[in-house]
Amino acid sequence: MPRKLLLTMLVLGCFAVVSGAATYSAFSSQTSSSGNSFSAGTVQLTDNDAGTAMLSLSNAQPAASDTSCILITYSGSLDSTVRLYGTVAGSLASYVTLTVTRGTDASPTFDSCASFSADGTNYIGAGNGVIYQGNLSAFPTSYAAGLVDPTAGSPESWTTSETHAYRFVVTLQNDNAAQGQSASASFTWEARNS
Amino acid sequence: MERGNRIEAYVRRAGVAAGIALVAVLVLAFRVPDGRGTLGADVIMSISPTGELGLSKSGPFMSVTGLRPGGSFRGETTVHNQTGKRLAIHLRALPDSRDLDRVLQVDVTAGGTPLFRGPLGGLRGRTRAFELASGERRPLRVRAFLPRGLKRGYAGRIESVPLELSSTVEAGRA
Repeated sequence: MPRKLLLTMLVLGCFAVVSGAATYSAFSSQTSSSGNSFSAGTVQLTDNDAGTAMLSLSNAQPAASDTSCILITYSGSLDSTVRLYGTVAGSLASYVTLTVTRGTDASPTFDSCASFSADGTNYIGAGNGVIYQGNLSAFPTSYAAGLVDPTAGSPESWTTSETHAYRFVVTLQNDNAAQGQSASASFTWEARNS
Repeated sequence: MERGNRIEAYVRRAGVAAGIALVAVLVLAFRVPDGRGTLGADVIMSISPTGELGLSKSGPFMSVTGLRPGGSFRGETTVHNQTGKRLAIHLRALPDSRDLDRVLQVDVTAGGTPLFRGPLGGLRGRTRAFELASGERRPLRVRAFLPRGLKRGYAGRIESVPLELSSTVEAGRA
């Protein structure tokens, strides 16, 4: 009888050792996650003017006009909204009409508008794609007052590689008071992600 | 009688031995096998347009999963000078880690002109420039590969490699 008991314990012992070894090897198995990295997103807006002015009126007479198209590209990684505003100086700005039209350009080359196509939406009731029409002197001059792209009611969320073209047209008004005066302007598109 | 007891004892011992053998076979048969495979590298290369430079294809334009020594992958996009001036254009890589800097080899050409050939880490600096006149387009081709015989430094690596275009105006030329 003790011999049987001894044999049974031996069998159970062998089983425990073999299965225990298998269990141990399962518990000691490893996996790893390497190469974790962390980076902040970006907000980046660029244009295709290469430092060249868009518009010019020189020795202009009433109804003289200049047209230019510019392509704005968003290359940031964070979705952003964009506003357009400017800096205007000089008394002639009150006698210059500015029209800004938003659209697309299939083959953009600054400052040609040959392949410009206005957006199909009449944003402000001044024609398809028009986002501003008025005196240059009344153009918004700060981000807070800036033109929300394309409208405050439905701002566009710009995503990586998104582009929009803008056509600028300036026309000198037929007003005798404009004689001999001058003005200058710069335009800024500003993207913010919140 | 004594002989009968001896036979019974042999049978019992044989039964115990068979039981042990069966248990051993079952335990060994159900063990999880050791892994013997090797993971490759997963790489995504992306590129974004700038205001001055348009691209026919942007975002992730070439990628590979499980890249192993001797393997390669490639991508192509066309660069378009959207400005009114002639531009000198450079390219550089901004990988999110340095894991593949030494092992992944990169070959960059613009319209057949070699711009860079070497390890990914070397592409962190700017490539040679290529020029585009106003409105001109040129294909940019990128090929990346792991050299044959490479033993380590690539297995299980996952890397995103943004490529950055930059340009400068070539004074007085359109």
